[in-house]
Amino acid sequence: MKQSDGLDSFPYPFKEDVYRYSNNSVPMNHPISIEITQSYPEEIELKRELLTAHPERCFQSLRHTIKGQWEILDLVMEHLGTHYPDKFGLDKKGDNWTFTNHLLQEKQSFIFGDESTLPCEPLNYIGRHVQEDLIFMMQRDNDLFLDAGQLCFPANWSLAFDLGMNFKEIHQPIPGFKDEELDERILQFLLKLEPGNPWWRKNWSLMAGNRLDTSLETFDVWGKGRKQVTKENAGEFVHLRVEVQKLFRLPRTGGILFTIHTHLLPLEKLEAKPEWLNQFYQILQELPPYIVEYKGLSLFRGAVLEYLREQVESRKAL
Amino acid sequence: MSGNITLVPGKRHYLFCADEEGIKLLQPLIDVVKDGNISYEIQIVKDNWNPILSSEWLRVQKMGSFLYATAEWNVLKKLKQLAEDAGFSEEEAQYIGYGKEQIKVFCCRCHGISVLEKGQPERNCDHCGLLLEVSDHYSQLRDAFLGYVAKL
Repeated sequence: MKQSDGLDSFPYPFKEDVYRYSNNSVPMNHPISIEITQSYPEEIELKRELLTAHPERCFQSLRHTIKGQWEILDLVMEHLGTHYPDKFGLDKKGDNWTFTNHLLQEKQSFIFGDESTLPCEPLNYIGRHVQEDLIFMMQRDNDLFLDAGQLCFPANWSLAFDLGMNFKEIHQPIPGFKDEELDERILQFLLKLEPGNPWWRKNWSLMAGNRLDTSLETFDVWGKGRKQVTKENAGEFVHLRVEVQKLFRLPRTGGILFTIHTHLLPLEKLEAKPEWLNQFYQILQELPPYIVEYKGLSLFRGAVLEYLREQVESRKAL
Repeated sequence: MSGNITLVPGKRHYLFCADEEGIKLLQPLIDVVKDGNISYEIQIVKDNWNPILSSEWLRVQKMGSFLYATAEWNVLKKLKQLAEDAGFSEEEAQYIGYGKEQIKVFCCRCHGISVLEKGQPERNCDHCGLLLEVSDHYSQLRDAFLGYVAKL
């Protein structure tokens, strides 16, 4: 559905010629939980369609998260109003708040903390105004639990299944994650996150097609695209999928807001960035089998490599 | 749940809760406890088993009691739930199942739950018919393993 707004704004995820799982989080220089891009109208439209058609797939929450959901709504609305004042407005008179979305010509007055004054749960409401997926992890017993989330553009996982799991349970399917104790190290890192000092990271995968809603629930539909990749169509058909993930510790409930902004770039656009093209070719060539398998690349990595090799060699010939 | 039956020493009171087949598996442990003159109780779960009685029996036990529950898997799951509801932690109990264990599989497409025998690698979803590959990814909330698309 969506392609990146342009090469200059695309969050290219690699720094080195070799990729391995790691905690690649870095502190945020500009602590903003959300980013509004040119794709805003169509992505919000798609999000809302998915939420209407598949509510259980796209939104899940446990009842004890309501306080934290209000805290997230507060933080996101503040960021929208502060950083995009021409697009959003937030007027607070005590607990009587009015949120305005100028892009969509929508206005909502509500009483902060009173769920009955919003059309849906707070996280579900504010998520309908931002391109990011919003995940809420709550902390207890020195662990983090996925207790609520609005997830419309998942990279092949199921919020409905993962709800209520702790950090290690969620990541159990990732090969090598536990063996190298990466799960423990990342968990310890997350437990030390402080309010006011958010971090962010980028995660990547390759996608046969250009869907944002690559949910596990629809894998039987979009997964077939992996069999259709050829050297000839890879440039247009296969996309580099990058998630910009941000981590905010919430000061009142102590939970963590995890925002995921998904970007897609067709491989053919790498031609305009030879350093990216060369580096991605190196990375994909060297990628170990367990990462190839987990990222779902087994069926089409060969065709993509052939395509990239041709591109790299044709550039050398120039 | 563990398949190994080992005596956890040093407890003030031992509780043996088992069905008729399960009590045979526990007999060596019961003999050790008897010979050692250690405090213990036995409750047999029969065909006309009343879970309320077991629940009450578990609830009145004092701190320091250690529970061995041994039964056919489906009964054992109910016993485990009763014990947890009564306040027994993982460290205060051992659960030993026998026979064919049934597990639940969560369909990745329709979220329906299907029941199958443990060890069966694939299964059509009872609700939408999708052929599912049974994974080892488990959700406590759903009490089910995740079933992935088996064939593209």
